[in-house]
Amino acid sequence: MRIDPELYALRSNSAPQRKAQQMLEGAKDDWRSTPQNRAIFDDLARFGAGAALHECDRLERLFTQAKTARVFTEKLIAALLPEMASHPLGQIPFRHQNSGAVSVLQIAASGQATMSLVMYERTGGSCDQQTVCFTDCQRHEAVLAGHAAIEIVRRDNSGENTANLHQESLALAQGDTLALSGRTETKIIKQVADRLLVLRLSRSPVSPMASLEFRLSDGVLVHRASGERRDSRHELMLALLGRMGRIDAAPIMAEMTQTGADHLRWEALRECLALDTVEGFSALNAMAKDQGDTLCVHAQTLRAQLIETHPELAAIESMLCPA
Amino acid sequence: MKIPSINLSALPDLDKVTGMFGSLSDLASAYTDDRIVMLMVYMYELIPPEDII
Repeated sequence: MRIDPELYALRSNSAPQRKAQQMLEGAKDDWRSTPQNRAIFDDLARFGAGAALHECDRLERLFTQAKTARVFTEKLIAALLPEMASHPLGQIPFRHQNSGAVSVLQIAASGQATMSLVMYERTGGSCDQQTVCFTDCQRHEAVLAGHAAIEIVRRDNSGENTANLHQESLALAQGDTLALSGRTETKIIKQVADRLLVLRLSRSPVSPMASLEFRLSDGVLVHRASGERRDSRHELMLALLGRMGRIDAAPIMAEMTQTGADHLRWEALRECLALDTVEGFSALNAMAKDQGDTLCVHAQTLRAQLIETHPELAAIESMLCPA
Repeated sequence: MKIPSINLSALPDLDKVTGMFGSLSDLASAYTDDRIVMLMVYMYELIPPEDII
C-alpha cells in the first residue's frame, strides 16, 4: 500500500495533526463566540428545548430573511477556510457527509434541534422520484445560493396505509425561505441548476412518529421506519445479543417487553423467547393477559400457537401461575 | 420437566413491520435522510508510532 510521505511522517510525529485540529477547533470556537452568533446559538438552545421559533427572534431571522442567513454563513466560511487551507490534513470540526449529489455539514446542534448547511449538486437529467418520505421533523430553510426546481408534497393526515398526496411545483432561488412540517409536508428536489446551497434548521419531537414512505403515483404506503434512533439502536442490540446466544440478557429483554414502542417490545419478546423459553414465555403470558395492552391480541395468538406446537409449554404456564 | 427451545424464525413478526431509523424502500431514490449525518469509523493499526518504541 502506498502511503503518502506526508501522512507517513505523522506516524512518527502526531503533533502536526493535533495542532491542525486545534487550529480548526479554535477557528470554530471563535466563530461561535462572536456576540451575534452567541445570541443565535442561545436561541438554538431554546428552540432545541421546545420553544417556538417566533420566541427565538435571532434564530428566526436567519430563516425569514435569507440575507441574514447568508451573512451568518459567510462569516463561518471566512473563519474556517483560511485555517483549512493552511492545515489541509485537519478534519473539519463539524459532522459532515457527502453522499451522491447531497452534502451535509452539521454546524450546530442543541437538544432536539440541528442546524446544517446542505448542498445539492446538479445530477444528469431531472430526478424522477417514485416515492416520497415524510419524517417527523420540522424544517426551516433559507436558500443561500443557486436555484432549483422543487416540488412540495403534502399529505392529508388521515390514513396510514394510503395517503392523498398533493404536489405543488416551485422554483427555489437564492433569498427564498421555506418552512415544512415534515410529518405531513416535505419537498422533492426535481432539478438543480449547478448547485443549491441551503441553511437548514430542523427539529424532531422528543418522541418522533414513524417515518412513512408513500408511492407518488397512487399514495400507497411502501415503507415505514422507526422515527426514534434509540429504538433502532436497541433493536440492533437485541438482534446481536440473540445471535451471540447471550442467555444472561433474557431478563433484560423480558423487561423491554413491558414499555416502549410496540415493534421494539415485540422484537424483545421474540428474541427473549428464542434465548430463554421460560423467561420469554412468562413475558408473553403477561402480555396476553393484559387486555389494555396494544399487543394483547398478538400475544394471545402467539401463545396459542406455541402451546399447540410445544404442548410442554402448558405445563410451564401452570408453573408460572400456580393458581 | 423438558423445556422446549423455540426457533426465532418460527416466531411471527407484527403485521405492521417497522424498519430501522432512516431506512427507505428500494424504490426510493433520495440520497439521504436529512436527519442523519453518517459518521465513518476509522480503525487505526495497533503498531505504536516509532517515536515511542
